[in-house]
Amino acid sequence: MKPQTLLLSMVWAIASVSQAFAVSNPMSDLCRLKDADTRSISPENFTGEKGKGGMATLETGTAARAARELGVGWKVNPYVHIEPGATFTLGETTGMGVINHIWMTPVGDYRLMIFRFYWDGEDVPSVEVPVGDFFAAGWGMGNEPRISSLAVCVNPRSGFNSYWQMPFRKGFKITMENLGEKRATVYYQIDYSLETVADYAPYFHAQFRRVNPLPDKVDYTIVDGIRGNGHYAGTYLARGANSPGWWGEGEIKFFIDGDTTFPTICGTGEEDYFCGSYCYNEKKEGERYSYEGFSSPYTGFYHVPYEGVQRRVGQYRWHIADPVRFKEDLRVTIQSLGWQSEGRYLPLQDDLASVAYWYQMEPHNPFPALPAAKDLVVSE
Amino acid sequence: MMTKHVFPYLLMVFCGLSAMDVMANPMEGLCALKDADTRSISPENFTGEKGKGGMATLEEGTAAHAARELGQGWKVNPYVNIEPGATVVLGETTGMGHINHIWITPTGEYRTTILRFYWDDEISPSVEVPVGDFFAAGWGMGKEPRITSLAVCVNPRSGFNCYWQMPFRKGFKITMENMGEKKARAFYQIDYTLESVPEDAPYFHAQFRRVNPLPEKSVYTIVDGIKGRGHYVGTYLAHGANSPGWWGEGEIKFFIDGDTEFPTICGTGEEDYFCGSYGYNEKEDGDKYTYENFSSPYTGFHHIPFEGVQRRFGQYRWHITDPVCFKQDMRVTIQSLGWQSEGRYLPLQDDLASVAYWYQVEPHAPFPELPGGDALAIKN
Repeated sequence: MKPQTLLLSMVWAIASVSQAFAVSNPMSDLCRLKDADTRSISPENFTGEKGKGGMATLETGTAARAARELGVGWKVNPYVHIEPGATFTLGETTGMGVINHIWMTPVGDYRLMIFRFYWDGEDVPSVEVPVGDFFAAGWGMGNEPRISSLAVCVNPRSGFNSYWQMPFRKGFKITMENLGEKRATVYYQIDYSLETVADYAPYFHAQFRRVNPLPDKVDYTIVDGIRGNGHYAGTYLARGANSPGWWGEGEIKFFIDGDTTFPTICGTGEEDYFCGSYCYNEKKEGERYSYEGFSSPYTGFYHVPYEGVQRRVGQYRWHIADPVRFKEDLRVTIQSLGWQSEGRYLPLQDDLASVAYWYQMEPHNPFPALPAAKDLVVSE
Repeated sequence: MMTKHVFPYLLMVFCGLSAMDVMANPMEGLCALKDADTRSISPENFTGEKGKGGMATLEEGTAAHAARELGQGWKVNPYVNIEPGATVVLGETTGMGHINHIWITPTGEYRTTILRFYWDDEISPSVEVPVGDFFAAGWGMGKEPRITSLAVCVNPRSGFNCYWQMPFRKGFKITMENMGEKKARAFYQIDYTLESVPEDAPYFHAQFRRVNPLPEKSVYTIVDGIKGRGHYVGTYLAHGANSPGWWGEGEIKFFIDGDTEFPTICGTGEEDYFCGSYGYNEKEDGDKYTYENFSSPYTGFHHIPFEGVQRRFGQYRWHITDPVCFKQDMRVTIQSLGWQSEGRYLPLQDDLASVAYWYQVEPHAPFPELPGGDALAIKN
């Protein structure tokens, strides 16, 4: 054996042991020490700085009135208010690390509370999504689903959690804009660690779109114009069915690295892409439709109770085990199809809103302008 | 072929990349061969030795009566009995490896049945927790919640499972003490592998505390006195509300590496820390309160039916994606707050019991003495 080969074999042996150990199961990470400093930004510590939590005084705290007999340290500033038209910086920090978890419980019009994330001082956000949709809960306050997945959990009553890992190298800024006409209130916690980030770690991105109604015979675009090297990691789709009947026959298409007319990946139906089947067990009784909701670690579906004409559903798919890699560009579309007489597909003109989640190296292509407030809102 | 595979591992080994970069997918571990011997200790094989399972004879087996016509090999010793005051060694082995999974179904008074884990011949245990609380089921037999999480599952009827990975280098010993007045029984299985453990793998620890009632305006300590290097990975909190009204306003605080008066991490409320929100959808109807239970991969909440004055709850949070790292020391506290007139916080005098779960390099600071008698037991 050549000395060079021997050395390689030794390194291989050592490296493969730790590799196998590291990936053996989702709990194994915890069995390794990590050279990291854990920090958390909340209204009780806006900068996340070490030893600076819970310092708000009765002069400044949002909940000073409740704590007036207890004083500093007794939950004096657990939430923030965001006035109509204002943009509030929820958290901003410098350094290198990873956001590991975000918890939040917002009060207001979710569709008009816009979440934006900026990595490393960038001017255009890498995440620009209404707060409810970001957490796969796009149908507004009081209409939150229950989600128990690896990437997102929505817990009683309106506890929104994201477990997407989000690396940053020079820092991050997270803001929330209130496009609504009423004051918004937010409790939140951004859990992150300051640590070395690998050279090849891409950045987290999320983009929102909404079209209502979808023009006849037009594909809905979940995302296009992605340029760079990365992978697509998830879709949330809020669909409002504007007409009676089954609504989920449409095919999803992934156009990867220069695909034009025909995509590389082509689905077989909407509920199929979200990993259910046969209309999520749709049953019709008179004018009433019922469905079977589910929330798996990877995908889920829910039907939101609503007395109006629209039928409202939410669907998520996280590509955790099966990210869709792209090296240059990516476009994702979905058709909106039902059935009509004589066994023919019926192109639907539905209310479609979506979030595309992906990772890519910066710079990202700037996003299209967010729809105006009137085109964002969910009707009462 | 080999050089092609070695290159990424060389990069990982020499750049000291964090496990985050490696663990792309929880299923990936299965795609790598592992040089490990799988073993499992149960009453059918107390030593876990190869080829030594199910050997109990009709002369000695706990279930010999049931198997008397079938003989050896026919479930002759599936459980152990633990007499009042006795301590039984559930399992003991030498060698290097990890415990990957523990299943146990105990019968008896959970709170006075104490689990202790010793790593590598240590004198003071690294885990000392009543068996129910260890599995986030602290309210006793017949009061088990249903938990489906990554670290702990509680399955029908009282199937307690933990998936915490627990490395050992020279061996482990696991004991169960019966501090109660009635005979206890346990069926169990400790699944482990004999394999090499990386040098930087810290050891698993879990500590129980209980205070009832909490003195007025004092803060409940979940854990303090942790000394060493490691990371905090979870909290189970059994909260008995001794007075009417909402009970979960208190803030959690993590005092890391020398923090004194002010913590580095400050929460915004008890149900917020457990990743729910707004009282877990608490509703009051006369004297009755209802809540919405949930169990996500990472956090959960359950309300235990109880006819007495106390309202009883269990809550877990596993810091799997967001461990709280410490280099020298760690203290974790939580307030117990409700509401009183004029929008003021009400300091509560509730029944609080908790388990803190963490990993650290040995030696650990010895634990405070476990409460005994009434200070430990749950009143029925």
